[in-house]
Amino acid sequence: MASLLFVFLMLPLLGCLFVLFSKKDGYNAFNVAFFTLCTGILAILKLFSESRIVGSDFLYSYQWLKHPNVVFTFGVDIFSLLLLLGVYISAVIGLVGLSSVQRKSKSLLLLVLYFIWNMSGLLVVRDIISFYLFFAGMQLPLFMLIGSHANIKKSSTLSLFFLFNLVGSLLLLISILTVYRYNHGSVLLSHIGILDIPTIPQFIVLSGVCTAFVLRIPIWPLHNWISFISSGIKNPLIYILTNLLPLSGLYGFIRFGQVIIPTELNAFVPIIEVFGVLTMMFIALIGLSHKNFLQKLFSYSTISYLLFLLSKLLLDDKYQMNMAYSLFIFLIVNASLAVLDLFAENAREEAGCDYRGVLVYIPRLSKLFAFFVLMAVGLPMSSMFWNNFVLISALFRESFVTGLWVMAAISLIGLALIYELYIMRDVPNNTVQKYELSDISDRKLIFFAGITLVLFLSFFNPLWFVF
Amino acid sequence: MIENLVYLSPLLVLLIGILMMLVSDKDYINNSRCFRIARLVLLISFFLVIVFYNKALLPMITQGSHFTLLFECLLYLCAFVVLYLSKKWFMSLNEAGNIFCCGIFAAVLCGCLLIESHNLLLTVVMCVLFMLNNYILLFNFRKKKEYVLSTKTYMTIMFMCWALLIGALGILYYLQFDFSYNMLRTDLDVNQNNPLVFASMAAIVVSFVFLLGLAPLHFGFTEALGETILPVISYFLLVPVVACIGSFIQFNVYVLSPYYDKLKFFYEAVALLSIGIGAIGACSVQNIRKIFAYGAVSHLGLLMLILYHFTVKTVDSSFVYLFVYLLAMGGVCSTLFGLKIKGEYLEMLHEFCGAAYKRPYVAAMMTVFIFSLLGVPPFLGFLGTFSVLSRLAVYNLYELVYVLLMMLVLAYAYIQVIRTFYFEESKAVFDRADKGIYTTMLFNAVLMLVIMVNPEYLVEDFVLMIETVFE
Repeated sequence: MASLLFVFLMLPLLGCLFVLFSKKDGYNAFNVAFFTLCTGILAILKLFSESRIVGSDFLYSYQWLKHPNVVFTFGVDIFSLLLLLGVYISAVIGLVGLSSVQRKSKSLLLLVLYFIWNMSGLLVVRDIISFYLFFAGMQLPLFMLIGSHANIKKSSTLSLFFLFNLVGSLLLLISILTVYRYNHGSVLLSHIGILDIPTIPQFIVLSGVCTAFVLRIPIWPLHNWISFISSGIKNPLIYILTNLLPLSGLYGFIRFGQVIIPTELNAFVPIIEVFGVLTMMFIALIGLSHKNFLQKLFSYSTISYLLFLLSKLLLDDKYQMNMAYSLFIFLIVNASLAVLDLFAENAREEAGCDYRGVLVYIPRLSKLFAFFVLMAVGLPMSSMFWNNFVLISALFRESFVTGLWVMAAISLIGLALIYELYIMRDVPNNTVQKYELSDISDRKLIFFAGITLVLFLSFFNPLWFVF
Repeated sequence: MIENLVYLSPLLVLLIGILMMLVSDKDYINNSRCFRIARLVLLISFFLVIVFYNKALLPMITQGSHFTLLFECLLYLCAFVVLYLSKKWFMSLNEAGNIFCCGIFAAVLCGCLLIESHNLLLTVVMCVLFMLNNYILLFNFRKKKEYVLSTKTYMTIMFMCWALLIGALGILYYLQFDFSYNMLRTDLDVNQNNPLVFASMAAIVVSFVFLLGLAPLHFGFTEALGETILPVISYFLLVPVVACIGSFIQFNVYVLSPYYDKLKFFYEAVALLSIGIGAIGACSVQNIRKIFAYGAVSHLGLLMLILYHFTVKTVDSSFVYLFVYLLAMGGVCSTLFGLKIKGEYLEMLHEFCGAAYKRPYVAAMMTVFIFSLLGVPPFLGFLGTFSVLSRLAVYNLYELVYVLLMMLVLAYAYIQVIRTFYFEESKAVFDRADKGIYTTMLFNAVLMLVIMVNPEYLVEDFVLMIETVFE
């Protein structure tokens, strides 16, 4: 198990190395990245079955420094494995969505693999220092990706993005160093709650941790950076990776919160709850007013992250697996919709067709698109239906008002997505011109059909792929 | 007598090198040969330093130990890197490099004696010579002859420091103190409450502050670096730092311990001021060399903030930070040598627009070195920053918050550099970088990677050598 975990963790780095030395103007780098991610998925599936045998208590440690005492500890459980699988499948979907020119860009693929390495590291670490290493480490590749490959020209947006993330990392660093001051070494995430820390430093630790994570999840008034960035990205893979960044904040809450809630973190919960609910409504209304599917999708993903955050903060740990199942599906659906929208947009631009009714001319894409939109809004087509239902019911039970607001926000954004689907499939009656749009290729159809099958089977058993 | 001469051989080799460079005619000895000889001289001297590592260069007034060996090795390595990189500059512009080589030899000579010094008189003389050498380099290698203001500022502060040093020596001589560190320490213990003695010690400390380029005496350093040539900047960012830190640690541990309580507020103020001024100054300039000069002020301020406690652990942490700083700053210098347009080395930020598209590897390495300076994981800088900040967390949480805030400000300045390299477009055609530049960057990067994967070499083995200063 330890060696498998180590190999899995090193895979993206190895991929980076191969991409670095691959031929300049060919598809070698793309093939390497694709192969690396697919191998990563296989390794995760193997880890699933291994963790069933070994159990979730398995930890692997590596002494990095003796003075100061820094021990990196790694381990996996079903929760983190589900998220890992979601991340890897999203990245593969993003790769499929790249254009032929983008597939030749070595720097893009190198940075993507490096980002995936950081994300994988974050999801398997079990001590605070290595958690910080990966948490802070992922901002560099994303910053470079957005700056170099996302066609965002406004430099102030990029600086804002980097500084927001750096503030979050530094706040987390302050918390970690404060913990270090009283413990003089690495602390397991599961031990933070039992450390003997005086009140004021404890407050510093908790406020630092909470603010660092909140900065990653776009809660008003700290949401500017991600909304500015997401609205300008034209590359599907970078869009997907940018939307994975809030996952790091959410995961931080889940891992740190496991031990802190419900005692010390209680003071922060009502504040985050109020701001979270307000942001959900605010973003749902903005999503409704947008005339672009990708921006509506961004609103949808933000609202979903906030739903999971509120579920984490307000509900018991027994709902954690529901969150994991739901998050897994959400990551894949979000990535698929981003890529399919881009295919539709490219086909539309090629033919010079109107946005309204574009899907009518591309029937294969239209069917897939409709399937994913309906799944996103919560129809019973995947395990997200069951699990979101459980989470929202529990939220209603915990606080009726909060539940009501959450429900309203989700309904609004669902309505917005459905309306956009309607617009894209609706041809005005007086239209006489027929367009010839290129539909998606057979290979892509098979790929996305496979994805839909994975999601659909999860409706019956969320872990059907684990043997 | 002969034995002493043998032990002195590293310095004699350097002296011979200085003489050779001074008498060489630039028409007779071309730049390539001049730098080859300079590197050879430096290597021979380095070899002799290692062979006679535990022998005093000048018996009675110097002392060799593992600590001095480590700092001398770093000093030689930095000087070697500066010479190696500078050769490209002087050759491409076809300018005589013998005076520059001379300056490097003189700096190494003064640095070695400063590091090994166990006598206040020698320390002061070496400080004076070091300052003079720095001034000569700055004055001789001004980019334009009309740039005199910054060198005048440097000269003014230098004269002030000289006056302070001479005054300090005069007071101690008047009070009939012995200048050897051991005896001086005893005398200081007895005269702890004598304000004149304290003032003289403070004067020496001020000179170190100036040599390190720390605030509030940073004006000469940062301004002059913006107006000098790239080899001199590399020299200033690397060589004097090593020599002064090594000597400063020894001077504090061996001599100044009776005054720790009185001096610590001064050190703390200098450190905090340097961190702040360095970070804000870096944001306020558009000259890339000044950005890194201000950055260096901020980084050295952070180093001082930990160092001034002078316990075994803080000195260890500071050394780790210093080592990481040298690697990253050395890397930054090498990338600056690798970027030029039509034979002209660049200095204003806007000139680097789009460098990443034309010279992707150089730009990528610059990014790695900048992030390393910022302490962003997983680069080696994180090790240094963590080492220092974890110590700071133990001493003072408020200072920790201040430091992190200033790191954020400094990050803004560094991000502008990366933004210019990667996100701005330009049609400028960058010249092909020399293979030697790539080799230096690669070597630097590999070293950083090895230490990051297994930091025990740095944190355990080197630190054991550092701790000999407390024996």
